[in-house]
Amino acid sequence: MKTRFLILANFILLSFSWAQSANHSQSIQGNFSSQNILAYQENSVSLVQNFYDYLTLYSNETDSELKLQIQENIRSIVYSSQFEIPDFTRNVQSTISLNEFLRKIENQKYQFQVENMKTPQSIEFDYWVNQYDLKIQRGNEVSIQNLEQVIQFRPIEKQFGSRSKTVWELKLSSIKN
Amino acid sequence: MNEQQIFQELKKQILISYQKSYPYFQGDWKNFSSKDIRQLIELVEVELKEKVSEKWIYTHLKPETNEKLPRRDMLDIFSRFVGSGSWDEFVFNHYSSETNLTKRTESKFLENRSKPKFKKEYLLLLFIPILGFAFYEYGFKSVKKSIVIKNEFTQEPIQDKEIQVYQVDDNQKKKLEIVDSKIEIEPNQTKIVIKSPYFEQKEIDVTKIEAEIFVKPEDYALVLKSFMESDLKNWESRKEKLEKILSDDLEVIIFLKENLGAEHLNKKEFSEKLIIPTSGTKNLKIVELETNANKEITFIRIQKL
Repeated sequence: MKTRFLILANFILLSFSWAQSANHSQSIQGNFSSQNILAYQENSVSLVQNFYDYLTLYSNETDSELKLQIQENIRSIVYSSQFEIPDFTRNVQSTISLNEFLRKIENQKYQFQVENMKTPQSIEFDYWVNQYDLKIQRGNEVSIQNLEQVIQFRPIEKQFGSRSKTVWELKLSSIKN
Repeated sequence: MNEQQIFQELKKQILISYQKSYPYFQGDWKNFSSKDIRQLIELVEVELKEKVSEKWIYTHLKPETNEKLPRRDMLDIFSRFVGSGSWDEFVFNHYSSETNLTKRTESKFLENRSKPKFKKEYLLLLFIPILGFAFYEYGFKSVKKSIVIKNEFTQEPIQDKEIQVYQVDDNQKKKLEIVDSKIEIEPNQTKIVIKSPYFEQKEIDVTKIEAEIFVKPEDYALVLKSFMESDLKNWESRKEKLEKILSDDLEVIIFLKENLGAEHLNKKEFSEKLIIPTSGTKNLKIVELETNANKEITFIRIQKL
């Protein structure tokens, strides 16, 4: 009985430490030095800027083919199709799906401009949160919103035609006021 | 000099070669940082298309003394990195230079012992023609030759940042400075190599050319470069062209500033970046490009500026 208990306890301990090390191998800090993380954070700033550049372009473009292409570009940089975005077209604080948001800004000539972007020092397991001001302009109406956006950074299995390999990738995730 | 000592010499030469690309590094192996190691790995990968691990550098190059010689294939790689063809050639050059030095010292010693001393007057008579010869050599012949490097198709001078020029002498490769699309060549230089992701590599015997060198553009790289610098106009034709020239198996690696990270893009993602370029797309520089037998691009290495 005692031997069985010892074997079971050993097994549990081993499983726990294996799970711990497997977890560590997937974490940002377990894989990158602080200098590397800073470089990726800097890259995330450009990614957020690209996102709003695409939204501005989409809102001002009339060519329907080009609008479809812009939608594809946007979807490639966000984390999931369930991506939620604050409804900048209304004064009330609410979030809507990306598809709905694109429908609302279509042909409305919105301009989005990112200012004062800050990347944090604290890093979570597979994400961090960037803070920035978003200047939203439509005609003479201008408003500024202070936003927080989750930046996912995790390893994924990516297809390169017939080949695939594990690479670390930055994706934009939820935005909140 | 035994092989261990020659390996120490190779380590010194590696640092000298590294400093040609990173001149601000002025230290030795002791203060060769992890960033330097990553940059050295990158240099070896770009220049020789060989892979070296960080661990190998820590084990064999960082220590002040080495008990054992490293593996032969690694010795070959780093001998090539410092301009020799292989480790054998590197060892041979060092043995022979040492032997020549010993022979020269011995013969000088014997000469001094056996020859009677010249009178001062005779020496002066001998000195005059030597002086004349030296004056001719350095006064006239040593004037550097200036050569402009131009695009073979457009006949326009090529921008300095788009090419690298190396002087190759006795298997030693030295990077030459390019100013206003021109290089200055010493009269005794014979061979130079022009490298660029945007132009075909060219090896030239400089004794056979006068003032201009023409290099042929690497079409695909220049097409991609023009796409990176374009605006939204003609996005459809860009999309069509990219569909044709990029292989479905394409892998693009974009190195972040100071090579502290990388983005990996497949064909769809890379095409999207060029179809609708953003301000960031203009800050990308192609470093390397590979094509397959069907003339499709399979691999692109890019540096973020």
